[in-house]
Amino acid sequence: MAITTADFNTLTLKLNEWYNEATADAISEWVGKDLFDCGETNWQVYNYLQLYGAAKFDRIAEGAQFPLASTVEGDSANATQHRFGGRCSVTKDMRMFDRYDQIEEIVKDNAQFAIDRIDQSQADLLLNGFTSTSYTDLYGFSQSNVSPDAVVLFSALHSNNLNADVFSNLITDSAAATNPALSRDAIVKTRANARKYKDPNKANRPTVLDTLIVPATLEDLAERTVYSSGVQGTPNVDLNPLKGKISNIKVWSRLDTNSAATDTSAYWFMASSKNVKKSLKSPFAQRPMMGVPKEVHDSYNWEYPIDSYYTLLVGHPKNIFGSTGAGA
Amino acid sequence: MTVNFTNLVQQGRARSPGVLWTNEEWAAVCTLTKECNIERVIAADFVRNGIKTVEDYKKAVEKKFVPQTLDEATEEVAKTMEAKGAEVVSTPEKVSGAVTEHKSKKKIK
Repeated sequence: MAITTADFNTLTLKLNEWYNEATADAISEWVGKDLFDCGETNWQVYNYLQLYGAAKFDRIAEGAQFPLASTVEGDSANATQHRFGGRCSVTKDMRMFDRYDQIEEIVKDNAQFAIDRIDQSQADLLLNGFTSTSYTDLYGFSQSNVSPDAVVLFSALHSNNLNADVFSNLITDSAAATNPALSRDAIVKTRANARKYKDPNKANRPTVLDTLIVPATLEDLAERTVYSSGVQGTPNVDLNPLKGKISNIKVWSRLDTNSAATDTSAYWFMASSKNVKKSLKSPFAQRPMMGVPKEVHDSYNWEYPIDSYYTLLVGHPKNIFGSTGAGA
Repeated sequence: MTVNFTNLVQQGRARSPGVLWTNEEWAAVCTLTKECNIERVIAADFVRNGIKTVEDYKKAVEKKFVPQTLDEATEEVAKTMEAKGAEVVSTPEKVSGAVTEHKSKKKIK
């Protein structure tokens, strides 16, 4: 029996159910949400302040006043929310001939695609974080890839507004070569570098890199390097200290190729699971949602829009390190 | 994403309002600051003037070169632009490329 306008509400409920199912599936595979702060905001312009160590904690003489932490130290940046969306149509033919399987497929595919695009846009920020100061994102618009200190996300020369000190968040091996291929040596050296990080006031503020983020191509090597009981690739029986230190390997297939179709399968990253969301921000003014349907009169299609508001922003870059795997 | 250009330019961490350093230029600013033991804002002025290596910096200092600051350069550009306009207005000849009037050769019947 054909679906008629009387079934409009029933079909909408069914479509919402399929949308929710598909979205739940997609969200479970959305790696970006584990690395980016995807919290909700009601700010159209999201303001961010990157502090470099403004706090004070000094010895106080009797009766003396406590020293005041600076409120002007740090770099600020802002990002404006953008709207994204699409719509899917349930055609008159689909309704006329009860093609539920097709209707279900269209809705589920659209819901999945929205999350896929968001996830890829987040992966692209990391993949484009080594050169230039902006890139064309997968929607065709210019996206900034610098942190609030005006330096590209992954750089050996991150600055601050207090003095001329610089710090690096490039993955380095024991020979001090940057952008090395994934190896045990580079993981060990970079973990040590991150722990030694000092803020501009010379206070050690260690970053504990416990998460390895790799494209699907490097999954096997990453797991053997971290999970082998002995040191990977050697015949000796030395124990593998990384086994307990890298607590999480995130395999992110969107890192294998960026949205400009460039092969980026050698890229890899290390992050602090506790603080990485301070480095990567993706505030949502509205998470993806399916809207109220409309009937289009020139075609009798029933159209269901899916839309979302979000933006991307780089915060303090000290909690994520990256390598192109290309050497140098 | 928009960074705070006012602060960054003042501190030598951006080329000019709205323009970031390229990675190479920023590396040059950091190298000059560290190797030549000068303030970052001064290193930034040298790089803006095209002096991007330690060797070039030493040569420039030997010749007592004083780099033009961003404010001085902006002022100079403004004066140059004003002078161009004033020159055009005061010159009696027609400026090349200007639109000239042509009478139609067709007779209206």
